Amino acid sequence: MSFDSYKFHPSSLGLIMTESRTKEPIGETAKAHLLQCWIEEKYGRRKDISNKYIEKGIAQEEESITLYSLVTKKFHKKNTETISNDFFVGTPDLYDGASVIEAELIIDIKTSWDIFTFFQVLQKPVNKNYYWQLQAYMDLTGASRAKLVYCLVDTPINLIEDEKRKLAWAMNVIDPEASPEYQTKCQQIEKNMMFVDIPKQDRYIAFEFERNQADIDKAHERVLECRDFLNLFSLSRGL
Amino acid sequence: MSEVALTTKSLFARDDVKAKFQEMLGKRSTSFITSVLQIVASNELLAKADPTSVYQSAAVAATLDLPLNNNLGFAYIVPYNQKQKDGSFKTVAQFQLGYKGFIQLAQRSGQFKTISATPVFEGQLIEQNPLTGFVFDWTKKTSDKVIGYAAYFHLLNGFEKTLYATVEELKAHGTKYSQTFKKGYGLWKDDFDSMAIKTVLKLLLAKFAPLSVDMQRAVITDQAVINNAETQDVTYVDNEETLIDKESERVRLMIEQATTDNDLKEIEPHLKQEHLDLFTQKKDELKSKK
Repeated sequence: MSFDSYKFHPSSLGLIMTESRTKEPIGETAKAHLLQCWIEEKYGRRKDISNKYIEKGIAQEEESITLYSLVTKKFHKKNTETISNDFFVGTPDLYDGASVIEAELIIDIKTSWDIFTFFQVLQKPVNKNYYWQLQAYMDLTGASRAKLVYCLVDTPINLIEDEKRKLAWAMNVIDPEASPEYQTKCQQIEKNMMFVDIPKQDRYIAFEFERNQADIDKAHERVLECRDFLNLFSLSRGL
Repeated sequence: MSEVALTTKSLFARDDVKAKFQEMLGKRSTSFITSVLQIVASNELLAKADPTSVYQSAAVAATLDLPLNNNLGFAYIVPYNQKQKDGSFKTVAQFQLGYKGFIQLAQRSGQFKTISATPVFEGQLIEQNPLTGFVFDWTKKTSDKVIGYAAYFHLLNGFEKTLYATVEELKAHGTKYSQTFKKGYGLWKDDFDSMAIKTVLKLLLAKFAPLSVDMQRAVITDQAVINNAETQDVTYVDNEETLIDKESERVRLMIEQATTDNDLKEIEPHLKQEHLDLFTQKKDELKSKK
């Protein structure tokens, strides 16, 4: 099995770009990801990760695009076209331009879990995985700029109810109506997970990146190294 | 004079509404209304629900004479986010009957000697015959694995019937009738045991029991948004796949919130047939403000 033309998804570029702590070119985080890629290609088994944060992101993606459209007063439509080059294959969320392959600006939407994680992005350095993801999208499209947009939108009811159930378990509540403390905490959960009372303008944070050709070249080199790693791994297994 | 938004509290304070519940429940109407308002006040999502849908759900519970108390488990009013056909978003109240509610109604009909439902564990199902029914031995449980659920009734006239469904059959039922279960959440996922017990009971009663008027009403209104409690006009919200055109909704919101001609120009290339009236209306509105 040859990995000579294996293409990486932009969202995983950050993982393979992690610096190695040893003299080896590929670090442990990257190796762990490459093993998953190898298993997926060889055996068709995919490691699906699901948690409440991802679940909200998927469920509310369109809500976030609507919020972003409303605050920027520019209509945005979710892109569904997957594009690829010699190194990457992916589907950018949104773009500005005549078409996705002629995009001038790539926009990636992230739906925050709650108001605390939302505002934390202002105090932390930008997530490196997201930086690399956007560089890969700019490489795929030729765009010279990219935006990382965090949106704060309501949490779906089923996830709010999940939080309340978890609380009931944690508090050992058998009869919810007989526990004023539980009821109060439930009200707080609902308040913490719904944001319609907060002005739309306050509910989005955007970071803009320029295309960095030197980093894109570095990413191409790393893709070649990872393909070598995957080929060697196959050989070591006699496959 | 500005119009005051209708709330569930203000709706239930109206004399005609009070009179309606008085007619159905007599002296108990005041405490019933209080219980409805307490349920609504304790649930922020339900508080946001369309007051009319809360009223209609409460009216069904009152007609069936079932208390709306979550601890008792006879009947519930729960919030449900319903997408409207025009793409807008509305929280509505859904009426739900607990399995205890079905048992209560069966008992009240005076025709049942026994009615019950239970999970069936591995080893307890001895024989199944499509014509003569099922044989269980409740002492033969071999593990804690639930393999199915059984419901049983025995009428005073001697007629008795058992309905058994495997866990797989019930999952298939949930997938078929609940959009939320299909998508991996909702009551079917979170409380499968209760939903399974309720389903075997409901199927058994609907198929084989002499249905009183109240029982028929219960079968029709369970898990529905009640459009009209009297005519039993209902919408099964968890059973319908309301197709949501998010882009259309986005366009509509952008028109509604437009404050300048430029805002409208930006949205114009994305208009669909359904937006044209709203778009023209907004255009005229902005023009008149100049």
